[in-house]
Amino acid sequence: MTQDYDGSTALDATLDAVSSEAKRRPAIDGLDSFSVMAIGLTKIFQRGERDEGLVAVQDVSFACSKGEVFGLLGPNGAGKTTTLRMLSTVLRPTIGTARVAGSDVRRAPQHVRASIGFLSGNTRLYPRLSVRETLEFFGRLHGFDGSELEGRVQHVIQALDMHDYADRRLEKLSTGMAQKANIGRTLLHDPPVLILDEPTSGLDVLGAAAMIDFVAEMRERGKTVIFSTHILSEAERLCDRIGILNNGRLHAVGSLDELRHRTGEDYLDQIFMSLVREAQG
Amino acid sequence: MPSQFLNPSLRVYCAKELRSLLRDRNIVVYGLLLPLFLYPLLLFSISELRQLTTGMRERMEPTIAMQGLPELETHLHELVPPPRTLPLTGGAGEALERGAADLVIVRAAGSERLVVSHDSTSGPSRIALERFGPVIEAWRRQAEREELVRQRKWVERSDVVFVDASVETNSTRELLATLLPLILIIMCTFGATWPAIELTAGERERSCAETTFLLPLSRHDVALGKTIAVTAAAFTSLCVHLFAMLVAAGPLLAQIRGGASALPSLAWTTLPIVLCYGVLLSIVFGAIFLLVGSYAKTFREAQAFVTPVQLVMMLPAMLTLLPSAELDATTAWIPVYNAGLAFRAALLGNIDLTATATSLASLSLCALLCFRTTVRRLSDTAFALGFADGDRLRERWS
Repeated sequence: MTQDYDGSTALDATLDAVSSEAKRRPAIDGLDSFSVMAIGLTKIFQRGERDEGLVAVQDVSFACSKGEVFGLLGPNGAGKTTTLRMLSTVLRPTIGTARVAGSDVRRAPQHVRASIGFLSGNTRLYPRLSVRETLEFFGRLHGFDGSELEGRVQHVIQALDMHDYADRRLEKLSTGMAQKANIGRTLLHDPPVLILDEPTSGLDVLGAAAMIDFVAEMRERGKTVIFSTHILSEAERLCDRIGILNNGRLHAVGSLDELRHRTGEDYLDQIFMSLVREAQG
Repeated sequence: MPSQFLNPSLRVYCAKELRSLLRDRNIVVYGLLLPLFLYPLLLFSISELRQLTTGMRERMEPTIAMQGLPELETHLHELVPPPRTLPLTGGAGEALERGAADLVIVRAAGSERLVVSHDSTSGPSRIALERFGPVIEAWRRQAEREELVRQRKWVERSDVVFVDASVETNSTRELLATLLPLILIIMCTFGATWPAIELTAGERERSCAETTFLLPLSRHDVALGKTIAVTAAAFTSLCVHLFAMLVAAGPLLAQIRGGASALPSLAWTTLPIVLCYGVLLSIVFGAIFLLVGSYAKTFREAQAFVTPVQLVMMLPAMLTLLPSAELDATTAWIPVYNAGLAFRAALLGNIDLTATATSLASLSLCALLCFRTTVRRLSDTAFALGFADGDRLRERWS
């Protein structure tokens, strides 16, 4: 990456470098059967015209099939959140693309948003609406109306045991209750793909345990779940496959056994450290 | 644009934003409760102030200009405290307008009638009339009785005639036309401020912005929804102000003028014109405050950003107080200022169709520009997540 400004923007050089590397990557064929597939996802942030840009995520490719729980692990700043934000269309990839539930994140972001349930610490609910109003609002935007909407709202309230506070405003609920409402919001339209960005962060032990149970239940119901965490025990318990991200690059993808085999380590924390050290050279 | 307004998802989103806004205490206080209580409170304060100033009124020494009438002058000097008197030079109206006298007493040409002129728009002149009007009448009756005794026959003489010599007789309307535009514009800025901050920095501070950007809506719809919601909130607040003001205006003006003063009847065109400007002002203020608020990360930061802008927006409203300010071919092009002047012209019934049309066109253009800029900014990921990204490079790359 060039540091000098030589007539073209410094970012051009960054893009060239990233692009040439992306072109060397072998084509991924036959991925249409997957619920989620990321193809060379790259995100570059730039502050100002002369900024050469910060490559937050570079050439990340992976695929997840139906009913699979895919874990993205990595240290802070590795690019987990940026990758998930690209998959959920909050951010547009600078290079590369992804298909989520059959829709392209670049070409049909609205369809992607209608097919996913995204949950993270940054996706809190509107505090001045009650739980029921929130669910109705999301339901209407997903195209439900009348008795169908009412039925779905009631079902979610029952399933998550929220009767006692369904008509209370979210600003008056505890963190755990609000998190339940948030889960309800992600499930209301029964999306085939769930994207969870550090879903247990900020929760107490009981809340975190409930979240883990929720992910396990989603897998049983055939949902594709992609979730990022830096709590290795959660990943060890839940994930069918794991991707290790470091400095914006995906260094390894595989099941726990495959990663054990590759590193020669037994436990996930040892596997993770070994792969991170390997990535850092 | 019309098809976008029919979009059911956008309607659902706008309804949700408005519902959230109407549950915000700041917005309810500043946008709805303040207008309802402000004017009665103002009425009460002025009434109290009047009582407080009664003592000051009694200590005041009015000046009376007279033409001839030495007997009356002597009589007035016998009063405690006596008024200042001076000979009248020029016309009565001129003396009152210059402020040389608070009351002018002359004998009507070719008769014995006394004409007492005062200026109802001047406080000291009204006080002088209240204090000396009855004295002059009593003196006149006494003079008639003395004449009767002296001549032993009834001498027909005309009474004292009181004349309001203020240049503009409909001063209530003038006062209303001066105050109303200023108050309405200032209140419209308040009505837009809180909702705009709430839907930008407030949402970001509560970590709801990303949730909004994950809704199955286009970014443009989200931005449009926010702008419409803030405009609607600002316009609602303006309407509540108008209603409260119309209810309280009669008694309020009576208090200000120190006498019974009914609300002047307005032309039927006044309200539609005021509402039309109100909608456009709501769009301008709503869009500008949303734009400014979108650069702030926290509610406090947004308040700090918006306050100077708010003051700048109020400046044109304050300039409408200048006596020389009026809606003409030039001022009609200055946004906000033209709305204030048009309000005033509408209230005074001096509607110049060309200037009004020009001002509406200018304000509409400004509103459209602000609306588009704001919608573009709010559609940007940088607003949603609070940081700049490389989005604008996408087109070049692909």
